[in-house]
Amino acid sequence: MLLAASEITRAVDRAFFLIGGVSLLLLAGITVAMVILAVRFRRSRVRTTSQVGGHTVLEITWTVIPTIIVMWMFYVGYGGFALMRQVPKNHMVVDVTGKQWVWSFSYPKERIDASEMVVPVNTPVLVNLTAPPEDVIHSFFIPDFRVKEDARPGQASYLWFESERMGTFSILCAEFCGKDHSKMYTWLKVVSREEYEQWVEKQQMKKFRPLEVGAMMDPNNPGFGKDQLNIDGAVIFGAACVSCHGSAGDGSGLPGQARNMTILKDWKRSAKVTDIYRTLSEGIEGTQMRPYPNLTPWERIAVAHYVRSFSKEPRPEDTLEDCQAMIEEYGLDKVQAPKQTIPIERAMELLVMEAGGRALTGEDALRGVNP
Amino acid sequence: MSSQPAASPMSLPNYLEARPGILSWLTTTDHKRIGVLYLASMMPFFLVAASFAVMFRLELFSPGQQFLTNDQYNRLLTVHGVVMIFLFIIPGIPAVFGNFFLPIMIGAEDVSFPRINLMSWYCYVSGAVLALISVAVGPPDTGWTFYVPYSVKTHPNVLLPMAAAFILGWSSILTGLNFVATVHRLRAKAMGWFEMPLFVWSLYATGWVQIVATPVVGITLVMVLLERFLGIPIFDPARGGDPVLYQHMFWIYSHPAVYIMVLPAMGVVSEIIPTFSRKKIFGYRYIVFSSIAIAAIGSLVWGHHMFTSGMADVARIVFSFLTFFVAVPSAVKVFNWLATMYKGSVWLAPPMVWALMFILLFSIGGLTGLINASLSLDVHLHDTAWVVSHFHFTMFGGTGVIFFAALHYWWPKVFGKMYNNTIAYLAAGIFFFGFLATYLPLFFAGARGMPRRYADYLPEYEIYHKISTIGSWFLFASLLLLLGNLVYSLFKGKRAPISPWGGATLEWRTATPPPTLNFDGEPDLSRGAYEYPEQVDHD
Repeated sequence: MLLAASEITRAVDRAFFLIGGVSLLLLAGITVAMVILAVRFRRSRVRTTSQVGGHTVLEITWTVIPTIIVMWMFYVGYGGFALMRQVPKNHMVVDVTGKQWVWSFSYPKERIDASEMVVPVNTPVLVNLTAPPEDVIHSFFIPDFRVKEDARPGQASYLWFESERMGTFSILCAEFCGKDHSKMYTWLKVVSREEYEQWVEKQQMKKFRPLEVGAMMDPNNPGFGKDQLNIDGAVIFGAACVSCHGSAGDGSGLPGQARNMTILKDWKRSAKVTDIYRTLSEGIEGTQMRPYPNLTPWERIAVAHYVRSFSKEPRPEDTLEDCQAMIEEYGLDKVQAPKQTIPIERAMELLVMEAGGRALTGEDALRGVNP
Repeated sequence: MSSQPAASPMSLPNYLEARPGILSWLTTTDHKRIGVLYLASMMPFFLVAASFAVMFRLELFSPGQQFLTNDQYNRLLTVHGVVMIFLFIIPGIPAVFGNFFLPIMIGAEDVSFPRINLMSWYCYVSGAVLALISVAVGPPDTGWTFYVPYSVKTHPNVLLPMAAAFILGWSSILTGLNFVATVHRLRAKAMGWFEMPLFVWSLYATGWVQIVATPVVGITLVMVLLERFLGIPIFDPARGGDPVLYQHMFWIYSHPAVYIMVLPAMGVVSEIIPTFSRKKIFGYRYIVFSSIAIAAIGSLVWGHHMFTSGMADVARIVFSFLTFFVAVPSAVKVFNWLATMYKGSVWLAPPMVWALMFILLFSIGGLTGLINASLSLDVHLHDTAWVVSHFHFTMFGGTGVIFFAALHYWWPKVFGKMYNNTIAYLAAGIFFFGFLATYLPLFFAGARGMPRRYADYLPEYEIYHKISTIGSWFLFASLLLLLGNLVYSLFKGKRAPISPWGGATLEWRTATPPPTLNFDGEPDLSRGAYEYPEQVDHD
């Protein structure tokens, strides 16, 4: 098979060669016996037969011996499985969501979302699997680590692996999930502990600095890891903005001159994310639009993304320079992640599972297996 | 009617010529004609589904998109699976050869319910027509398993093929019911249970599986309908249902179904090997009990399709444990077949060549099944090309090969014509080569992690797909050659004698082709089904 890169891999491969080896021996035995019998007793050679109809001792022998062999095979196969279901105590956690036709990863402790999976070497990784309730079944498969488990809509499942090697490994979808099933693959990067920590830090910075061009969102086609901006933006808009701007952003709230955000001309500042951020931070003098210093930078950016989605007209895009200017002006690269909270998406996921009557996370399932 | 006046041999018209005209065929209650109707309606589906496989294998020749879009690939794949499973492999041997030979082998004039037998053929045709309509209005793209929630969300209408499976299920139940009743009620008085030919025993065991397991398809379809049209949440997780429940329902039928597919094939092997070894079958009773054991244990192992689908860990362990036991009766059969050849006089005529090919290919299928049944190995191999290969070794290399063996074995009796032996050997040889070339590489690809039902793949799997695709051309060519040879014999073949192979079962002691009520007078039960003289009296 492939490189032996973990304890599970070795256990599975050992079982494969043991069971496969015995099977090959049996196959060779059957084939050789068949050929010898067909040649030795061919009609051109044998015209006198011996009409034996059976032999009880033989029958019992070739019933009992295969029974013993298959029981041994069961035991060998069971061994590796037991290993697969017992997650070591010192594991890290990655929550994986399968959605037609892409995998997304979220690290609940590190509070990051990613479209690739990066883990440190020599660390057990517990993978909690699910799919959105309205999606279909997928199956998370890392051939190099011999692990696979279905990611079911609205339900939780888990697997774990630990890599002893650094490198890049393929993650595939193994359960037929529609048109682009065969394109639903991504990469697992196993890196050194230091590299991993650098990567986490970079991802965390990214999350709190979504003004980098690479993180800009197309409102009509929000990508993975960016849904959160829309969701947070909608929540804050509903609480703080809707009274004047109206729920559709068309300025139909309280009487006044609230901006109709479905039309992009005549804005005091432009509809770039950076300009909306400035408006939220400073307000617009001479209008009823006041600053909202109570919003965190993340929340302001989320609102900016959300209100941009009201208009179907082409929106002005931020340039790299715009973003860098904004980051410097507002010191966004120094913003720290708030402490002692869980990510909103994690909370939502837990709520969804509770509402579905299944508050089961991978870790709960684990406790059930290993009390 | 059993007290027919004795008539001289060949005095009765054979069943083919008894009543002329298409209408007489479409309204026939003669089990032999119904068997031929099944054969004639089945082969076009088989060839079309096989050509679909050639097409999507061609797409897989290289990585990247060649000439099929992902969507077209998924649809071809699904139609290939649905047609092969529901229209060919499940009904195949029982509906064609069971119908034709079961009553003859037990000395009966027909099955217990001849009109229900005709009705089961009409169920088959209706199901097939429904499947065709579903292909015309938008072929399903779900794979033959129709897993929810994908199958209730996808655009192509999957209700039609599911309804087709439901009606085909009726055809299967009615056939099974008929066989069970016939064996109980119409067996010749002089023939005891343990004097029946083993093909009859295997059909009897299969009949019970068909009766007990097939209704689950209907129940599942009703559940899908309730969910879809009355909004009762059963399987849809978005509404609080459980998709894994569907998988249980599906496999409670579909796993026993693979034994519906393979048990009759094993029965045919138990006929062919004694005939061509001129030897009493070895361990008759053990073969009978192994059939019953396969039918019984085979009904309790469906969960091994679900080792990664989220079933409780304990359930996975229990299902793995039970699955291993199915291997034992299959192994017992193989040992008994080999022992039958011992001290026999083996004639490697085409049917025997196919039967020996079955032992080899089915052993590979069975032994790789042991690997799949192992929990930790299945986690890795599940839903990979490995399983595709294992399945084709058991179903195509097993049941499919025996379907061809049975065609070659009984063709002279059914149509009264001999086919060309040289071409039959040639076709079998090309088939064997093509088969191994097509499916062996898939074991390697699967063990290296190539998932199944992939319209495209990573470049590291290319070599396996290349070999497999080339193999599929040989495989398909051999099928055309094989069937062409048989069809050609209908027109140009030599007249077949009563017993071209010297078989001992009752069908070889009635006219070729048999008369409408099977026997010219009372069947001759003086000789047992596996009784041969010590000196070979036949070439």
